[in-house]
Amino acid sequence: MALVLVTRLRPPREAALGTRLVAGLGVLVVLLAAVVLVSLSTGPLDIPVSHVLAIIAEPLGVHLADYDRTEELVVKQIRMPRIVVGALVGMALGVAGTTMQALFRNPLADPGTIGVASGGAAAAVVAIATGASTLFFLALPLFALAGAIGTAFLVYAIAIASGRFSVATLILAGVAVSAFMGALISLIIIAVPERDTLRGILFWLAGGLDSRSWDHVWLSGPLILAGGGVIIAFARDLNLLMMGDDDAGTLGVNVRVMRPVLLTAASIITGVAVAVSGMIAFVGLIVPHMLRLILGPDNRVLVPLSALGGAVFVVLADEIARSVVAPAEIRVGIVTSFIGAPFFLFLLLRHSRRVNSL
Amino acid sequence: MTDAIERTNRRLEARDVVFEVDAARLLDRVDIDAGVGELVGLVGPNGAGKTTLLRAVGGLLKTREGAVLLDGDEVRRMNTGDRAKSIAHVAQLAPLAQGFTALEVVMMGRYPHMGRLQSERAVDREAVKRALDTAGAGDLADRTLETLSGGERQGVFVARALAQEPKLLLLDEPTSNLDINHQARFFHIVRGLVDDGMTAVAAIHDLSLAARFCDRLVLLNGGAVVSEGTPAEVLTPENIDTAFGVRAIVSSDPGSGALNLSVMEPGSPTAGIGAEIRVHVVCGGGTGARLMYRLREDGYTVTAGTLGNGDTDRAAADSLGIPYVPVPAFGDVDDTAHEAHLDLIRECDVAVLSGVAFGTGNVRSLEALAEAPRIALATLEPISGRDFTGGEAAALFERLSPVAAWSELEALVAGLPGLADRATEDR
Repeated sequence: MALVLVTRLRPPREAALGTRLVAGLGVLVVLLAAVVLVSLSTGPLDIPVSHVLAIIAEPLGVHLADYDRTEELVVKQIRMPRIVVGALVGMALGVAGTTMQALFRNPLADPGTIGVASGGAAAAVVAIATGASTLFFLALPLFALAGAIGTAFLVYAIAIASGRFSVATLILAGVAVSAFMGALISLIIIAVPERDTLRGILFWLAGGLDSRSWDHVWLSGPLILAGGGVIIAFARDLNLLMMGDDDAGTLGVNVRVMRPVLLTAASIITGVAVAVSGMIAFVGLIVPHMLRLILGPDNRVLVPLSALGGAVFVVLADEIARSVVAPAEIRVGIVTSFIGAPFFLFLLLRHSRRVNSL
Repeated sequence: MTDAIERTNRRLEARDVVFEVDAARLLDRVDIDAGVGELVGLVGPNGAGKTTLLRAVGGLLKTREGAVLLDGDEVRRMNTGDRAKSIAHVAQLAPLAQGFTALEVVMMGRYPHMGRLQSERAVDREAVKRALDTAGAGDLADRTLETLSGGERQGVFVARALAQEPKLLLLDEPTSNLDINHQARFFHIVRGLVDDGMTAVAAIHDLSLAARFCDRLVLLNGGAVVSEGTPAEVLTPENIDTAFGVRAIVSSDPGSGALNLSVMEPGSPTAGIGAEIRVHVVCGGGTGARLMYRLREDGYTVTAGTLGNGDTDRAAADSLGIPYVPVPAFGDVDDTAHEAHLDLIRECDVAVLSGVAFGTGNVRSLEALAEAPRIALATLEPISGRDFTGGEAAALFERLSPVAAWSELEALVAGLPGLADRATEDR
């Protein structure tokens, strides 16, 4: 319903670039703040929003209200890191999705297009199955990160090994490697003897933000912010790359440098997101599309806003995941897919209607 | 050496350019240059290297040997940003980046002039508006690319190129997807820019279009320059045969001075059918070109009547090496020319009269035709429709006694030997 409303809005295209950016930023920052506040206050322990605000304001030297020690612990040590990780993951997936769609000139590209997500998942599954994930508490995310980035480089290497680089080769190599990783995951799931290990694998594959700590924030935050910053700085070049390699080259983009740089940045932030949250599906596909429908295709607007939009979407999905069957939880990856899959189908229908009307 | 000195102040100079992919040499020691206010056309068959040469000139290819200099600076050594401020491209078919408006696309031409995180300044917006207006796309600014027609889209891409404020404009068959009206409109815009001091190099498929708008042409074949010079110097039947492997007839339109090209399609010659038969063709105004070409293909010995300067049929006769009687354009046939025509007509076995129109200038051809041993008509159209002499031509025509008439060229070519035999028997 809301999605239909969103797509019915006439894109405010006549607005200047700066206006669109500022207006979008304003709306999304308010939305994010609202979603974060609601998330911080809901859960098994009901904490009033006023107390949440007071807990946040206290370290800044402002006393707003009295709250008890348990509330402070729950907000600061349990809910806040989880929400921050969720926001970071959403940012990463939103930005990486926008980047991949532009780089591949393909509306169906997503952060996992060149095999990053499946590579990270396969490495994580191997780590869980072999018990390597229990070596130390960040072993699993580090395994997943190594798998994600390793796979991206493998796919890129395959694409350039063919002699002449092409976007199509890259996508096909990504599809092939993803299929291989998927098969590997299935094989391990079938072969794993213990129930608990299997449950761990399936849990991880569905994507989730439960029991994320500040360590996960410190692991993912710097890389995601740096990678996102690089892509924002080169958003203009992304516009030109959408016009094709030759056009980009003649308009001042060093294609041979810029494409690997952007691809690497997008792959790293995706890998980091997968590492700390598992496979959260569809965020990277639908967030850029929703924003593109409203604000047009200019990546200078789209990239920063996809970061915020992704954050809002993941934090909101996590809030739903935590509250619909409370005190139990649904995996956040399941919630995003439940929203994402229908939206994806809606896009397909919309697209085919346009084809028919030609 | 004077040549070298004269060329040093050329804006674009490419020397000895060699480009290879694997073992294939796509450009073989190509030299081209272009001055300020000059539009140079690259012509040649598919695969001749036109696009490759443009890409090499634009610095998009790593050439194996040779140098491309723009105002003395080597293009490959410029950084991509500086290059984008000096050289702009317009391609044949730009990929469609969905959703961008014309204004946004043209603004992309300003990126090389803007800082990385800088948003557009007033000077950029003015440059974009100017570019859109110059390219005749001012009213398209808010339309998205996918809603534009091919011609409108090319206008937007020209505007984007202009927004770069380049010294050199490279056009790669920019009009090959446009109709003739938009082709001409496109090149009028480019011509205007060049006349205002732009330097442009354009790969152009259509030879007539190239001849009409370019100052100079470079004819490429197999990655090498076949010929270079003014359109008239380059587009000779010999050069066209070398590069394209087709027989073409080149003539200049007496009205506009524009070059006309007509390509003779290779027929299915029943080779040798016309051997040792001499056919004289009375034609003009393009009514005899195909006829002469086909007759020659079948081995006939062909002569032609009086042909005015600039006449398409005269160009055809020239390129086929067919003897004819030259007369001034639209001039009267004087006694000397008439005598020369009679000599040719008396020599032939059969004279063929094409569907040429008669005016006071060429009406004496009908008088001469009366001396032919046999007359065949290459048209069934009545003379009245092409008599512009007030009846004189019709009267002369009535006195002729043609023995056959064919409206189909192939039937004529096949039927002539029969007539010629009877003519020989009569003698």
